Amino acid sequence: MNNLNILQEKFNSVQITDSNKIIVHDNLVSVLEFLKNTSEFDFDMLTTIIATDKIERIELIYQLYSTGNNNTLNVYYYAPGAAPTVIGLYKSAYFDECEIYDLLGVKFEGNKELKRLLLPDSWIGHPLLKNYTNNDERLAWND
Amino acid sequence: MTDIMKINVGPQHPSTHGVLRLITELDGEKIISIKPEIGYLHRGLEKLAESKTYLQYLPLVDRVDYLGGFFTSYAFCNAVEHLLNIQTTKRTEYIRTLCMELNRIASHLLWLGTYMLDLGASSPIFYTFRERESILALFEELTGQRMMYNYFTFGGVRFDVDNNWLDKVNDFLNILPKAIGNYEKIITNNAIFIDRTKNKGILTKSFCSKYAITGPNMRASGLEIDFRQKMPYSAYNELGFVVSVNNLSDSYGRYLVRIQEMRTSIDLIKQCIMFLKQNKDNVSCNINPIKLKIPQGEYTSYVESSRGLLCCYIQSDGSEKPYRVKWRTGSFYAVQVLPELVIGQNYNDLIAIFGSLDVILPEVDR
Repeated sequence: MNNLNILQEKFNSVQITDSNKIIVHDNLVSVLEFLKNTSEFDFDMLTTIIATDKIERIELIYQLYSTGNNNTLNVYYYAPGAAPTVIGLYKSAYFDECEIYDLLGVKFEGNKELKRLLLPDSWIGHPLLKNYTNNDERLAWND
Repeated sequence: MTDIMKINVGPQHPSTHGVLRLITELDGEKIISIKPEIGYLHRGLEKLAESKTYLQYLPLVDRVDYLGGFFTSYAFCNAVEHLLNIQTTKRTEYIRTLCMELNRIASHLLWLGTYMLDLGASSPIFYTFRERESILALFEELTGQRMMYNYFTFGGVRFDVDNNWLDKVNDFLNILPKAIGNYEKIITNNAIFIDRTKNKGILTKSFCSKYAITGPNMRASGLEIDFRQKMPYSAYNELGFVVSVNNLSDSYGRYLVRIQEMRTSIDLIKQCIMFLKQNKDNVSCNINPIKLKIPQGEYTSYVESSRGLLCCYIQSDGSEKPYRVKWRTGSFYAVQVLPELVIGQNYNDLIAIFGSLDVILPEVDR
């Protein structure tokens, strides 16, 4: 997308890596709000949030889709242990954020109903972290 | 003012197609709050990917959505092929498209039968399962399996199709339009069906984008978005089809979209058969899947499954095992929108509305 320059003019810290990948270092919510409400971008749908444990930090990828322009954009954000919530902008993010909290332990600030989604409340640890160990020998990933 | 009654719908409720618990609060018969509780079918498919090689993980991806095994396996194979930068043959892609479209019909038929059962009509399921059984028999002949096919591989498909099998598919396609016509005869104008679905569970356009609802549910709200057309993959850019869409936004509209989609799939399969009968390419690439090492990188494949947008994201660190696999499925988001649709409605509409969203729980919990 050529018009990503508009975004960079407004937010200096945004890094544009290629046509559909940008890295946001701060002000995540304002960047997403700008991407959603500016008519050039019109990213009205957050298809999913992907979280990956990169050992020293958690990588969050917000995959945006524009139903009007048929564009996709991957917004990268690196969270050391917490990230701002985006449910004010995209309601679909609630389940995503709960799932990421459940499986990777990222706390989403501002999400008041953050809870374990897939695992029982009594579960100890966050399975998708690379240093996660579970002593239950029946589980396949111990070998 | 009556007392508020709190009841649990599920986890083992016959109408929830899987294991879902809905914590419901009722005022009389009116639903005043509802909270979906998921996770009962969580199998840790994303965690399992870390300890398995790509080939070992391949049979597991069919289990993400057991009614749409071809879609999930296509999404995974496509992402792997993209990361390996290999080009599949045209014949491969046409076989894959044919399988996916047959799968879409089978999935919609199962939805139609069980949805009618949810609404109290017990005969349509016998008719839809009769046709679905024919599709499963065709799949069994091709892949050896009725549901968990494990048929697509990296760079190809496991077995080539022969003209004999294609003729059998063609014979089935000649019966199907009449069968769909028969379903419509008993359902579309049925007064009870219309009474229970028209203007029930209104899903507006803005809800669709806010809650990331995709697939037939979205197209029944007037948004003409079909990823087969918007981001063509496999053989879809060479095939002609019309996207089914309507503006009704209610359960009835979602029913009409799915019926129309089955007809579209028939056209698509016929085009695939025509191509496959003339084309004699091979159906595999010369790669050894056992010693497969994927170069460092990441890729998301976008697939239009029968339940909406299906994404498979793979991140590779250059080793023989994936570093991260993430599944984005349509049902995960459709469960979330349920409270918006049913609050304020009568309790007996709960299953009628929920059923119309075509949620499959294994796909939600992964």
